[in-house]
Amino acid sequence: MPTLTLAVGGSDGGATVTNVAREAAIKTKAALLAEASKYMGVPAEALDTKDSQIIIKGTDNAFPFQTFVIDGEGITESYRGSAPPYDHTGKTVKVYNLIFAEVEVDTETGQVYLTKQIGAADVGKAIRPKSVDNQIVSTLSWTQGVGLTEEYIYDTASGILLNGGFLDYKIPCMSDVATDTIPIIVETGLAGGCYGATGIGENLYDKGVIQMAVFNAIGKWIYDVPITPDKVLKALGKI
Amino acid sequence: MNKFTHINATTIDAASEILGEGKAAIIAGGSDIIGTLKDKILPDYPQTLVNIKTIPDLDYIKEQDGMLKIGACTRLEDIAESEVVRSKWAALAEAAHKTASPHLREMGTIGGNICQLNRCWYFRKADNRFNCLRKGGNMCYAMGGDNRYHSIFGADSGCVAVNPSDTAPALVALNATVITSKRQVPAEEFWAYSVPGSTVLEADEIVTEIQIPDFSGKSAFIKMALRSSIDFPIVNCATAIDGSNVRICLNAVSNRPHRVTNAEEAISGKEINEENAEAAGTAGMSGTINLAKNKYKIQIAKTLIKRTILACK
Repeated sequence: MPTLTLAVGGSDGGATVTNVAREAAIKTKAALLAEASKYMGVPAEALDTKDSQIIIKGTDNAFPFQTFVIDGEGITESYRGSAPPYDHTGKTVKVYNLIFAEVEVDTETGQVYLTKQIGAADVGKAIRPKSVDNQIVSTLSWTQGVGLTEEYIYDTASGILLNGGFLDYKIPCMSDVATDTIPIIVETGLAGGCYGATGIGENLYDKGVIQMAVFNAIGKWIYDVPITPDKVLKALGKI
Repeated sequence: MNKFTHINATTIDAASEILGEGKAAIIAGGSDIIGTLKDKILPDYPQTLVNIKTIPDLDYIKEQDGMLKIGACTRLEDIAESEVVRSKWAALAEAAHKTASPHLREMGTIGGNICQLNRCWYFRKADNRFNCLRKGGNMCYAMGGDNRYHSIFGADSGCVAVNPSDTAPALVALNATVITSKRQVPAEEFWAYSVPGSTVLEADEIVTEIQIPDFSGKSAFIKMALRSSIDFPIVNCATAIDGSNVRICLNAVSNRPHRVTNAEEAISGKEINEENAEAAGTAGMSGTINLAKNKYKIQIAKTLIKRTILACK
């Protein structure tokens, strides 16, 4: 039976290897139909596949793929294609994203709470929508981390990293992610990946959205991220 | 990690005896000591860990003799979820609930939480990169280094590391007593500067129980940390008010939990309102000495005093 194994990074998979996967799938399908043709006495051209079954065109006859697994041997075909960076069909990669953040600022403690985040990404075509949602949500959490909590802190006298562990280098936890986090998938088929797909991931990240939200909340710009309580209290003139 | 011998103690006396022989440390939940050992933060290592979870009858929460008694090996999650603690000693239940993360609360014990080593990223840097005062060295690196999370009430024997326990200030506010294998210590006097410890415990002394007097007033605990879970406090505060009897304690602001008597006096006998609570917070900040990077903690501490008082209304 055809199995598809690809080392696809979520970030650029849509823009690169989808075309390679498509070629491999076409080749595997032809091999499968040729194999089925031998057992069924029907020309391969008269066969097609649908819902993991071999069908005879123009009839209701359908045979599950596993019917043709004889002696435990499946069909393996490989296709080695190039996965050029974002330009398989000559189109340049296009990325159009929008992100929004809503924050609440505690003006007495300086703490910034992220209350809502929206990430809208034009991925061309969502090959696996659940994965696209995950890519958007995870990138929103990077935006949150770099905007509010994450930074390397060095001892200036010795150059030694002081917070080199996940206890002190503060990546947001699940409970920190805004409960109102909304991924929006837009599909315009804009890019050169299979079905017009493009990549989605790092390109969505933008700490600036947190800075702008904090500015809208307190009327003061804080240019230096992460925006920690000490900086907020200082901007507010509390310390 | 260095190799060590692991002994399952079955009595307090047996555990004390092993501790008394030296080069030994207690393990209960293990959530502090294992990290300490793995990171090799100390110059000198225990060769033996004495497991006290195998000692019977150290895990309980009960009302008895007009007080609340909690066994030293009681897990933080059990305290956080206890109906009796939540209803009468709310600050302690909330403090236990705000400690670390769900997994760690299922492992960590109240005894371990109050005996954990102080927190300072110089003191706790892996491989003993900074052999500071607290480890027998001759310098506090935080004093002139990055001290954004350090003491705002001055140094203790030259050290500005803070006590990070969430339950400790609640125990001080609720006027608890720590029962050890040797004596009874008022919570307020339980913590002290030592190398590398954080309490008055002698080498062979073991915490066995926490006792909290019956309480009919209101208590509250608020923790401020950058993350809502798996994070130590920037500042935390517990307040207990019963009539004119007020006890307020901050933590993560000094070497040991810091009872703010100035704030207590300011609010005692007064109506609990925004103005009076604010004044108490301001009074509580007398005597602060900020370092180069932690002035913001004073504003936070002041605010938490105010808010815990208001939460006791």
